[in-house]
Amino acid sequence: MSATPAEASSPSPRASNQPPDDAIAFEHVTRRFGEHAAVDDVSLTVGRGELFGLVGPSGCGKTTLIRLIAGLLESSEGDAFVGGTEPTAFSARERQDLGYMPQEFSLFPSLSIQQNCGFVAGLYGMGWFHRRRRIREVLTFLDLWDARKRAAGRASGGMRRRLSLACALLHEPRLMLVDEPTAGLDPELRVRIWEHLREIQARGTTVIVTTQLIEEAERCDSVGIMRAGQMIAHGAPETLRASAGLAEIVEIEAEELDRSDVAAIWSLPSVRNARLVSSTRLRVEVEDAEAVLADVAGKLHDRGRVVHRVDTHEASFEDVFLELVEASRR
Amino acid sequence: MKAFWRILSFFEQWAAEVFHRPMLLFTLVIAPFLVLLIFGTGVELGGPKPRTIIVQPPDVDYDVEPIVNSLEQYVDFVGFEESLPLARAALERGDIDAVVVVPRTVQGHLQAGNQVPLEVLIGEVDPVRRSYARTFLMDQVGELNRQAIREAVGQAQADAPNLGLMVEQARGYLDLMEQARGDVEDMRTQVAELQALLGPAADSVDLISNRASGVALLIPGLGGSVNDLQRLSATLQSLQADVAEIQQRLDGDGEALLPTEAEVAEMRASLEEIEQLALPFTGTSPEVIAEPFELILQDVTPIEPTFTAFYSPGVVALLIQHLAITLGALAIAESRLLRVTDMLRVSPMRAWEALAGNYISYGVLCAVAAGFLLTALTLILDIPVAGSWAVVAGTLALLIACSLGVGFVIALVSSSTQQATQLSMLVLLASIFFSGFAFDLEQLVAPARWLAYAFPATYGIQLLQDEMLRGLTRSPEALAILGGGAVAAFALAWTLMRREFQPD
Repeated sequence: MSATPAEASSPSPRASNQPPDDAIAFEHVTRRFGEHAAVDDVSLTVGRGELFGLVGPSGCGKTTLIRLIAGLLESSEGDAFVGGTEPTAFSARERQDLGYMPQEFSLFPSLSIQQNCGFVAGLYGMGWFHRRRRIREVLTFLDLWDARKRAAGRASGGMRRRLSLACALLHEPRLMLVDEPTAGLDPELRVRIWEHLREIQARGTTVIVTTQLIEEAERCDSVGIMRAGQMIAHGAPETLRASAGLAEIVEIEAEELDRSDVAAIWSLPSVRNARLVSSTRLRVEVEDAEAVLADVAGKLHDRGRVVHRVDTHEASFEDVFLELVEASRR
Repeated sequence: MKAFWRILSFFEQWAAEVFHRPMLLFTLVIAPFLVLLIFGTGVELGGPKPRTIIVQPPDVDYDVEPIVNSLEQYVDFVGFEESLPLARAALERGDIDAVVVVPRTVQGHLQAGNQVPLEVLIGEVDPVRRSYARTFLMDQVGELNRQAIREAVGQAQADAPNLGLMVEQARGYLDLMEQARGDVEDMRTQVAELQALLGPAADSVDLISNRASGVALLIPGLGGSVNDLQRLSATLQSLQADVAEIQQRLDGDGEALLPTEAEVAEMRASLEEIEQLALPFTGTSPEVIAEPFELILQDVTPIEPTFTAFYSPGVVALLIQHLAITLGALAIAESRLLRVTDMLRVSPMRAWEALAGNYISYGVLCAVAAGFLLTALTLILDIPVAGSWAVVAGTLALLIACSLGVGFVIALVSSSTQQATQLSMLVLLASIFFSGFAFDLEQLVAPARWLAYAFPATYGIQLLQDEMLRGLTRSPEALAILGGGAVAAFALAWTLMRREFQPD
């Protein structure tokens, strides 16, 4: 993924000026609902075959962006191209290459899992024989084959999410838009869904996936972070981590910590940030944890604190997200 | 080929839906027939018999039984009451539907030259029942009058002299008068005999003539016969006057003046005229005078439809229209509710393909329901199809296509499932009133009639009734209008569906 600079001239509606390897090229795209800009001046490119994650809190504009990519919404401003075509001008052939898993379950609850798949396969013009084989493949791939006769309305939340994913996969699209596939699922199922997404990507499909779970985004090739309709950062996870300036964390558990202890730690060289998590926990951000570990523990000891435990680890992606959000506010 | 599979996907989805929801099949197919069956067996032919009390004054001077008997086939007599206020109170409470007040006297009214009042009180608020009550009561009073005329004429004819015999006898007296030309006394005797012969006959004929004149005012065409009767009466009276004059001359104080030959000849001529005029009167039965017109009703329809048979085509048309509109409206509304529309919009499905898919799916379902209804009608309710099954099938196919289009349009202009349902029900309600099912289209005034022609069921009812009951298509243009409506509804639905598929 790479940021695309704004172009001075607008391309013609169906002509593309994007590089051939880009699945998606958005330039200064804005979508307003009345006065409110749900997507605000977003520019991004997604290369073919990438697994691109869109992260951000609820209501930040992720779904609106996905719907703009799918051609369900028209942009108020800017240039949007998907596979070289404006999404609002997709032909039936171009839609054949698009797979869409909406955020909410959008199938027939009274039909079985297999029948729902049959309906969606029909929408993509798949004949009976081709359909039968493909439905079996996809349901097996998503561990749904044994439950194929169960009514969708009686399937568990995880099954329904996988059914929606199966329906988006049936016609072997080249671009998949997956909106919050893990929302409301338990951790085990979330992991399996991400494994499936990785496998789909491995077959050459470009996957755009949205999530509110920041840690999940780290599984993507590249990530776009959204806040209040704006794309505040985008890039590979390691690039974002570096741009956030976060390196390593020292976590200390001690007795009766207070603000004077935080001030004392701040005074140490190479400490970037320190904050009191609770009266027994202190969190210190440093460039090199191993180098300052002894100094931090010593400082607290000198101040008469009994240190029970000291831990070091890398900053989480959630920390990176929070840092970048904070930076965008500044 | 891909378009074929896309269109077919809707049918497969709905076939599966029906398979998974047997209640849906019941609602779509069995329930409409049950509605029809209950309608067919639950409505009684003919008007309701009003529960009626007869108010009979205690000092009534005639037998009221004939009046009661004549009304009994139309009303349900629940008793007699002497007090009108009590009967009226029962009527106002709704315990009874009508009160018949018979007069204290009949003869008294007639002798005074007045009509006999037969007062009937009704307390009905239903305009149809009020109209029915008014019509049948007028008919009953008319029947009473005809009965009275029949009896009076019969009595008069029974009482009337045998005019033929009277004429023969009178001629005999005239012969004797000519023979007694020189004998004044004998002449007086013959003239007195002749006068005695003419008197009662003239009075009877005069009475009958007067009664018949009243009837002639009510019965057009009877005037000619009554004129003859009046001429007969006048001729008799004239002859009577001539004889009286001769009698006066013979009985006078001066010299008795015998009748001249010319006078006798004139009296013979009068008798001739009386004989001619009396012939048709005496040969006419009281039935003919009371009811000169006889109703000869010839039914040219191929079958004699029962009440159920008459209304069944209308019920079928209404049910199929309602089924198609509701299914069409709910199909699109449910797609929106389940957000399946988004799946369609993202997929290669085109607006016309989505519409065609829905038309085929719901069209087949409605056709199955219609086929089941028709089969059940013919086999279970014994409703005939006098005409062509092909025309009946074609009418139903066009009705389904047109109604489905209306249903799709309703859903596409509605913002919610509730709104689509309400609009569908509104169409059903309006169709019941304005499609010609409840009221004849001729009874509707201009704006309501225009509205009537907006409903597919209006044409469906007309075409099905004609084809099933008359065995012919009296209005082929109705088929064309229904087909045109189906095309127009498809075009409008397609336009709206294309808008639906546009990006928001």
